[in-house]
Amino acid sequence: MAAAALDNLNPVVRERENVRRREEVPGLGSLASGAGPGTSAEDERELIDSIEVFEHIRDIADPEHPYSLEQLGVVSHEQIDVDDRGGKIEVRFTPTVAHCSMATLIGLCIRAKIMRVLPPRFKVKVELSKGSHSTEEAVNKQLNDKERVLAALENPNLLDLVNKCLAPTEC
Amino acid sequence: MGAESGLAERLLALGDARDEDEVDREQRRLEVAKDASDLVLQGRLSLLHLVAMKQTKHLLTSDSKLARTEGTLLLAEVVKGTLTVLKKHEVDHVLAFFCERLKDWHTLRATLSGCRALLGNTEGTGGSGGIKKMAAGSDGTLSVSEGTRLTKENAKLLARSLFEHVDVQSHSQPNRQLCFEIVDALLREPYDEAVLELAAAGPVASPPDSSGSRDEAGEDLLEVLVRFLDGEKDPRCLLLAFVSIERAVGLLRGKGGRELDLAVVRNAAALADVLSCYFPLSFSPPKDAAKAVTREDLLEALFSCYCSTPSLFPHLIQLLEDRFPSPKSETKVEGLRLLGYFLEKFAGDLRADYEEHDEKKQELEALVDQAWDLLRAQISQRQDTASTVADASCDVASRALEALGKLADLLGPCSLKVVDLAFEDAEVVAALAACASGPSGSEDPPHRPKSKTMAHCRALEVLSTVAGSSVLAFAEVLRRTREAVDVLQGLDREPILAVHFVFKMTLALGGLERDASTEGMEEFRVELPDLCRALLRLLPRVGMDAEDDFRTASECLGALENCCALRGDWIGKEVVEEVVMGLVEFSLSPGGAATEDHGVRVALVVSRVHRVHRDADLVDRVIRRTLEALAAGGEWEGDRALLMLAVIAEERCELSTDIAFKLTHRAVLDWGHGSGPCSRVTSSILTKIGTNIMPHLYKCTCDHRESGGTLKPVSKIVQNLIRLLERALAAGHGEEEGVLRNILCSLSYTTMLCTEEMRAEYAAEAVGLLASGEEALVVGEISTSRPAAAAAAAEEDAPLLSLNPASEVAGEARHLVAAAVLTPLGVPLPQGEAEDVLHALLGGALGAGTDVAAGEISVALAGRVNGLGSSQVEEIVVPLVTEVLLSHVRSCESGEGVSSGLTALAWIARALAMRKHKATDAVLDEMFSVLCDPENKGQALSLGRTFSAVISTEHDALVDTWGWTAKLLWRQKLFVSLSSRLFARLEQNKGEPDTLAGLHQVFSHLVKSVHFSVLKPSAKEVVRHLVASVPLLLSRDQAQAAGALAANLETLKTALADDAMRGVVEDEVGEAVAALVAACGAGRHNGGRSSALLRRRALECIALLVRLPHHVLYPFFHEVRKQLDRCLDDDKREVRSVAGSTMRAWRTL
Repeated sequence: MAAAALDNLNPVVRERENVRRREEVPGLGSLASGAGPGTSAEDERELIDSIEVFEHIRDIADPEHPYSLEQLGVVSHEQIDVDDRGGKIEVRFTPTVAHCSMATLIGLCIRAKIMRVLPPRFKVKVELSKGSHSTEEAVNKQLNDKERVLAALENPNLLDLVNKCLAPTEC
Repeated sequence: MGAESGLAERLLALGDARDEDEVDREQRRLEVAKDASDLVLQGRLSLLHLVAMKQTKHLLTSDSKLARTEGTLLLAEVVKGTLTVLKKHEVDHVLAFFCERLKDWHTLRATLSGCRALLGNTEGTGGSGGIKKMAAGSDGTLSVSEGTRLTKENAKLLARSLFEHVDVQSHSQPNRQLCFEIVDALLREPYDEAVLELAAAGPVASPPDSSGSRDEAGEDLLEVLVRFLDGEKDPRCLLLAFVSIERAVGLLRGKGGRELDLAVVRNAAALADVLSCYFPLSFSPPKDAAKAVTREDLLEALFSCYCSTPSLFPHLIQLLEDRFPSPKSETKVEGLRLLGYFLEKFAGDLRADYEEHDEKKQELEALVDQAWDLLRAQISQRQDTASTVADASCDVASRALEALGKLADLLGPCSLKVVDLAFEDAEVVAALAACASGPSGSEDPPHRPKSKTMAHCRALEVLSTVAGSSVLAFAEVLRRTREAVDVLQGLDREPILAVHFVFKMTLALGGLERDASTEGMEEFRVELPDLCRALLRLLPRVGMDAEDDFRTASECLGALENCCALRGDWIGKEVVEEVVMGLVEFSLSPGGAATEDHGVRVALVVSRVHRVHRDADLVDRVIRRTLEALAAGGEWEGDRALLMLAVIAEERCELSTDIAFKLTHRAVLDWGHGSGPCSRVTSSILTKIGTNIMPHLYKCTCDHRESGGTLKPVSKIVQNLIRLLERALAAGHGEEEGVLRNILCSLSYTTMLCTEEMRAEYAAEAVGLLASGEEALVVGEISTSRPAAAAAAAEEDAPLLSLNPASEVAGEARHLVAAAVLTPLGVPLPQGEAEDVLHALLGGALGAGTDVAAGEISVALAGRVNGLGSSQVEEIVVPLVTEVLLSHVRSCESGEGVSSGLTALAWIARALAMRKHKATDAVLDEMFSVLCDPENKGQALSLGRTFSAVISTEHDALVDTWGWTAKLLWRQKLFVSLSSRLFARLEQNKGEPDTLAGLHQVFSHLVKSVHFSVLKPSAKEVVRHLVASVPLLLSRDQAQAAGALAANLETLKTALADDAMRGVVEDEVGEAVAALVAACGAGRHNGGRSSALLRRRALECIALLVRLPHHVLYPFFHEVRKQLDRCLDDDKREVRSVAGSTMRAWRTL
């Protein structure tokens, strides 16, 4: 793609964050008892949480730039809410510029990824974070219309684009 | 003459071979060169003769570039082959020819090869491995053979010609590499002096584009090398070039004198200009080239180049200023690393310049300013987020601080410039103000943003780093800090910042404590006790902060540790004692703020104080207090105290024996107190002793023994352990919690800790115990009712092994003690008693009554069998097995008896198999008969596990520890005989699911015990049984079969990943899919980690199934997808993650 066609010519690139759950942080668990990081009760369910969802979507490639959504600051684990028992996931994302024409595609990629790796019992809501885009409402409406999403994912060209963006998350 | 004429013809043919391809030509040339070399070596032809031959002359001077190349290559080959016999005048002539020929662009590669050959025989220069060797070569690893033929004049001629005629960067990679190799060789001994003389004599070459006009000013050595390097992109050449430049600069600076040193200064800018192109270094070596140049090699060479002369300092600072805006933290980290190296290497030179030359002083100060700004910017830029614990920016900041420390070191001893800079820093001023103002200031700490507090902490870190550079700086920082803030008050008002500052300052003081008498430090020394007390008071208050990012409590502990570890002239003994006991109280106080982490830390402080001050009384007090806490009975205090003692024992070997004795004594006293016979405290003590303290003590003692140290007697520990063993057996308890195993393990280690004589006595006692009847086994009586009298008796008789005769279980204890003592190979067996010992051990194993005891004694028995001579095995072991053991197993009616018998059989079979003894097969047959006996089908699963000891790898470490001997490939041989028998038994027992489950236990250990390739010849059977084992083992008791099932799934996974084995799976695909789908749902909601592992393994296998042809899998598609959907919602995160990737694999189907 020619440089002139990019919505954001010079995006801010962040470093990959080392996100850990509190119990996985050395020193915050027990040091010498032999209990390793991440140890939880044997039979307890490890709930699906925002970090798990973030792990799935952080490496989705941006459609325009050779960076991941996390590197461009489009997604972060603070912008994800998960209610495992209630079966709800809400992901908000922030395009790098307010007029980003790829916002719908990015949202579609996030939704497609979540649909593929998380159980179908979840009701997933993907939307732009408040005030981050000039056509926020329209994009949100498209992204949360199940019929439209399914139709989009049946379009071979669009599916090809989505798969390309999801490729880094699948290796 | 025949040979010469033949050679002439072939030489002629060599020039005409235009139509041949390159490989043939090379082959032919090499043959001719070899023949010619042989003639020269035999003295039938001289090199000059060869050159003067008409045919050779034709080749060397032909108008055809191909013929010229062939001729020159031939000459190079001959020179290479005959280097050792060449005479001086021959070398002179050939070199002169080669030097002249360097002008010939077409034959350059051949000429360079010739020159390279003349320089000496370097090993492996053609391959990348050689480059590595050369790159490593500051110590002259480039090996020049005895055939070094070039005189100093010759070396000069070669260097001059190369520098003058060859424009390196206009040639191909092989030519460039040869050039760099020649340069490299010329810069090493013995040619380096010649090159140096050449450099000293004046410009060494004219640039090639000056058409060789000698009247123009030429270049000096460094200039030429920079020209050679400029534009180079090949990593191998780059590595050589970097090494050469570093070497050249080193030579010029080291041996070259003032003139040449100036040449380095003159060329520094050009050099920096070229080198800067290579930073940051972007290079990813190809994955397949194992010995290729790595990025780290190149980086190190580049850094060495930069660190070759102090004249590059301004350029280095400029480089970092240019590169630091990069968003990549890797660049920053590497830049800071480079700066760190540089400052470390040239601190002395730069400081000398600073002190001696005024103009340089100003220059350097300006550079220090510049570097300071750069580093400060990096330290401030660190990002902080609540959930981010370790990110790359932390690394940048810590590297920057490190570099800042070195920068401070640079001027530290002679100037306070860096201190001035630090106190001029706005952030430092703000941090000190925040520290002084406290809650009454403008910013109330609870409401101050965390990022701001972190920024203040970093600023204070800068201050302490500067203070650590010299005692002068430390005193000055102290003085100026005192003007701004009262630290003692700061600790109350603003603990986070003040504690951080104090911690960092005490850390910095550690390196300067020798200069206690320096002016300005005296005041600090006087204040130190008050500071310690203030910190101690603060500790319970900040304890709860330990979980936040500031780690105030840890830093408080750290500061106290640093203070206590100062030398005696800094801090008084009583203050240290007060602090240490205060810390112990803090960590042992129930309901206090101290976490487990703090307990460990305090134990480390005690160890360090003991190391520094050697205060035995203090440590005694600490141990006494900790044991009191242990005895107090509270669960929390007990655990904490035990943890602390274990840490101290681990840190200080000399205290371990004492601690081990006191703990075992405590365990004896505590036995029976509590809900069960073995109280919780006793159980914890035994676990810690058996798994941590004794193994560590043994390791320390081994090291100690090597260094000729003395050992402390450990008989008291043995006595305690034996009393504990008796009680454990009497209570019929302890197997589940591993109490018995821990006692036996400790006993074994304790025996090994003794001196040789004591060990021999123990062994004799053990043998006596085994041989004696149950009533006569007492060596010394210890009565629990009269401890004082018993202790006195113990002092007099010093009994080594003492068992209570009144005990009902003395018989079993007798065997276990003897087994534990005799287990280690280090314990010698008395001569002539082998048979009695083995019989007694076997008797013990068969009569043990419990699996653990039988197992322990069987291991000891097998260890003894392993140590016997061949004839003893024939005479003692074989009859022992056939007459005693087998008849026992056959006649035994109880399940326990069969189990103990099979345990002993398995271990003896293992010992025999390790020796590749012929009786192994017969024993195996008998073992299978026992396992498959219909009467034993109720316990087949556990018998199967017992059987597996014969080949299982999980006991390998145990066997290694005791130094058992094994013949080469014993396991493969055992695999062959065991597998054929096992497969036959599996077929025979098809209708017996219980027996099959037991056999599958053996099968699981069998397939795991050898390398996968060994399984390939019997692939079909292996895969079939693997698949069949999954549903069978799934239907058994989870806990018993889980290990075997997990191992089988792992093997199945390897089989599916293997191209050859996958075809075999294809034949069993229906059963395989059904089994794996069932395994995916195993214990989903109640099985914990072990079943999660099973599910994960099953999912990984399912993911690999997609490599089978589509039509084979299609019928199972929906079944698998349905199961995968369920797995996406598994309880365990690890399973969900694997389910996601498996789903992806099946989606593409």
